[in-house]
Amino acid sequence: MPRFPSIPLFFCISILIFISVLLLSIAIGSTDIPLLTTLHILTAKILPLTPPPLAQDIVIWSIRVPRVLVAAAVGAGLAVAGVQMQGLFHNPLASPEIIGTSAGGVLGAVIALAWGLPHYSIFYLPIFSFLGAFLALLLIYSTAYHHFQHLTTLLLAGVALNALLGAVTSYVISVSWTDHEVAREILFWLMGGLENRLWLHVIIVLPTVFTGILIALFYNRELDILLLGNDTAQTLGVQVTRVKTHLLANIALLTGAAVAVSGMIGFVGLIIPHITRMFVGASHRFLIPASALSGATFLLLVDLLARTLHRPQEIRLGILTAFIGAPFFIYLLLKQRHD
Amino acid sequence: MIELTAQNLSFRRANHWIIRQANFTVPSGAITALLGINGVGKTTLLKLLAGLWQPTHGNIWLNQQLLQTLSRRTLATHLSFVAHNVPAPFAFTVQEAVWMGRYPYQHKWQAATEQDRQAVFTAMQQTDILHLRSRDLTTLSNGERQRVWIARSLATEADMILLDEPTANLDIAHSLEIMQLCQNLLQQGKTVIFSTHDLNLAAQYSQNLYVLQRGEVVAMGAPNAVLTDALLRQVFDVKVERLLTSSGKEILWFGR
Repeated sequence: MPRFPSIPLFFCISILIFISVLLLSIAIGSTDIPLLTTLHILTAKILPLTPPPLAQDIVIWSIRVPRVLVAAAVGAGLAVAGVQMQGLFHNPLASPEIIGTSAGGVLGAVIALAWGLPHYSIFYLPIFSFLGAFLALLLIYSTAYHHFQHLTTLLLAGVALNALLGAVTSYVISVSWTDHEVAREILFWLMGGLENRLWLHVIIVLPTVFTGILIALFYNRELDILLLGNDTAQTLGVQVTRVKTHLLANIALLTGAAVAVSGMIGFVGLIIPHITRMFVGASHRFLIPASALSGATFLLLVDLLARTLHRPQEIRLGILTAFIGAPFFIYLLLKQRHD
Repeated sequence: MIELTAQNLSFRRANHWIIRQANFTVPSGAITALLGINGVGKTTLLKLLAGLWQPTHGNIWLNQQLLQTLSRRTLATHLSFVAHNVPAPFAFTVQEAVWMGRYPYQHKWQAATEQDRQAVFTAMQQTDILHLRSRDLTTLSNGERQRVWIARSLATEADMILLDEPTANLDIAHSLEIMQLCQNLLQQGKTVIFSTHDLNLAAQYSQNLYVLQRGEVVAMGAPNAVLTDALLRQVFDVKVERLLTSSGKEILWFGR
């Protein structure tokens, strides 16, 4: 597998690309704002510069920046969730949307919305989607773990769990249909994507994803070793059960946070780890931060496309990631078969 | 020197006794081979001895200490198990894989020490994989990969290496290479215990044999004392003829 000649160089280039895409995403939108003005507005928040024009300041600071930060955090979170999942299941096709973890998060969030919980505290939604994701993960993990090295078993279990959770979600929506306000809220959220993200969403997702990435990094050696199987991990002194429980919870945390602020965005957790592994290798010490960076950049780019392809209308983000991700998934399937 | 003793060791899974009342002390500084038909419990016994599984009854003592009272990390510095068919789904380099053997010594966020580097280097040197160090695991042959797993074991600086069918799936040259490697390990004061189906290989390279039948250790001792015609018929259900090679070595020929 070709690797990048130098890992520090890879990180330098990735960070540069990430910052450029971040700035571009802030500058480009339904009304383009010149890059210099964008930079002026952003630096004026920190340095005592001349105040920028108010209208543009509002567009940048209250609309674009929160959206862009949410996109970056969701991309990074889903990518790192995918990395850990593939390690834990020893299966290169494991990722949050394929084995039903995202669907679990969606169900949790829909239940919170149906009960009207977000009116009491904004934190109910992310907590419920975390719980949903965690239970879905636990269910698939505990039922048939020993067979998951076999590709088809994991995928079929994912199909079944996705169908089941989807049905329960539909049921919850249909029984809350009588309350129009709630139903409208759920539908709006289900179609969410990244439209109208506020600083509130940034506060929910950014610290959570940051913590999740740190936890994943904390276990980077264990993740490496777990790839060689439970016996090897145990004989090397890894406390397998404890580490795996922590990692499962961490995957649920990252997936739950992403789902809570953006609904169902598929395939990031599948594509990004694969491509990143080609550049930095399989060692999690580099793979985790590299995937976080690439995931963030990837989702920013896709979001930029979603906003600009059909201006002034937006394409839903999930549609675009599926367009890129589904063929990639099929390619991986064929490649696995070939191997 | 390491002393590993099984005392009334029994293991049950799903209402079935896989290991019954095993009593022995693994000879230190020697190669011990574990023999028996498929499914007789060779892997189970190795995993019990390595402390990966807990015995249902009985005890295992490591240097006069009860195995289950030792922490996982302490165990890892004494006993190292090399599983049969280790998965390698992603492309680690050989060097990265051998470094994993230093896990029991490394603490969170701590940089590698000189001792770590030395142990990894020595392990790769002893297994003759230094030239492969930057290669991806997925591109290696089975024999090369087996050497990497043994190097990973050596990097833990454990006194005893337990190998589960190390020569399965290997061609004859690679099998001999692995066994010669095990012999070299004896000179560094290691103790080796491995399971195999190849009786000639076991007789040729080990100083001690354990023969398992229906979960019981039915024979133990030096190869020429253990591999009698009667035992081979009783355990493996085969007839045996003994042939002498031109260099005077005895080999076993099996028929029904």
